[in-house]
Amino acid sequence: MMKRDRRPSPQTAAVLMALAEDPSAWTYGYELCRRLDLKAGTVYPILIRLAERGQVETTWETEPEPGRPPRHLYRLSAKGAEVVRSLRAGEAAREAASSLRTAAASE
Amino acid sequence: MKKRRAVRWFGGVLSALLVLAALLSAATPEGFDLGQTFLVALFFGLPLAGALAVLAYRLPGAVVAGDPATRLVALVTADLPPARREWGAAMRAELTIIDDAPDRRRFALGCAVTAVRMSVTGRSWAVATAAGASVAVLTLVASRVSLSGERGGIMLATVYLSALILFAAGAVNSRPDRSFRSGLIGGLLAAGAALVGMLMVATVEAVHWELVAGAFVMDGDIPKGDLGRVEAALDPLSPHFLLLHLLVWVPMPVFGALVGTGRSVENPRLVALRL
Repeated sequence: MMKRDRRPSPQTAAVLMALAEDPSAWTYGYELCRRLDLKAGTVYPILIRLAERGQVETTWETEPEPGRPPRHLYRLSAKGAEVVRSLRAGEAAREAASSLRTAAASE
Repeated sequence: MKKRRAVRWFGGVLSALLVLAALLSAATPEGFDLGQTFLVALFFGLPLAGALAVLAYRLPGAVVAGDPATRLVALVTADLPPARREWGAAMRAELTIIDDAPDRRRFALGCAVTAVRMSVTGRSWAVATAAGASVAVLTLVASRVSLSGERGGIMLATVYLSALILFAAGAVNSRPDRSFRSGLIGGLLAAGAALVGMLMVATVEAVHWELVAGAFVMDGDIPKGDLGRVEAALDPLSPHFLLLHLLVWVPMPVFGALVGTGRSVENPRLVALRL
């Protein structure tokens, strides 16, 4: 069966973009919720899906704070970086098309 | 420890039900026979107490000390399917660094949404749809067979035969990934679908019974006065019928999930991390 190439939802795109700000850095789930002003009920299902698709890498803290369990960390994988690149390219193409339409309308 | 907790739940719930039955008997001496009330309480109370004991045994991680947010996240992430346990541990760990109480509540609610979404899969929906359809067909068959025979109503079939379907739904949902929780949530989803299926058919059949026999569809009782169509159609929605169905149905997915689970599988990565 042919796999459909679906565009990610705005929230998924926001998570990907946030992770792409510093692709080498590991980020916490709660930190993502706060940065994007999204609920945990939105961010975690997205992270789970992205991890399952191989677009996000996950790991556990190796040196957690004393008395606290290790936290889960996330960062963009190479596959995720590709998705971000195509998202940015799509966005740039849409912006170019929009400015062309504006220019044509004003002539 | 787990066994002791389960036994405590079993004994506690059963005792509470028996005390409630005794109080009811004492409060209405003309309406209740003490011995009969005890038997009824035992009949319905045993499966209910058994189901709660199973829950206490199979979801030990669900009961923890802490604020409501900690308790909620522990409850919703207890016994996730092996492939998802890591995410449950991730959310529990993340909650420990949030200090602000409203933030903790919001985060915990988000975790609850995520955990339920993780447990409801395509299989859960398929099983729920099949259960709803089976119970609807069962209700229709019971109605027509009863109407052409002794006209005793459909309640025995809808309560007890549907309970077997819900038992099977719990088992089918928990079997593939050996997750008690998947069986429980999938089974409860099936119970919701079964209730909708049963009520949809029973409501229509109630009008048919009114036309053909002038009797109530659930128990076959014939009213003293004229039975209107609306009154007949609303009969299956009576609170005591709904309560009876729920009392018998709700423990069934729990037992089904238990049977379907067998031995639970530990995620070696989480065991290594002692999460």
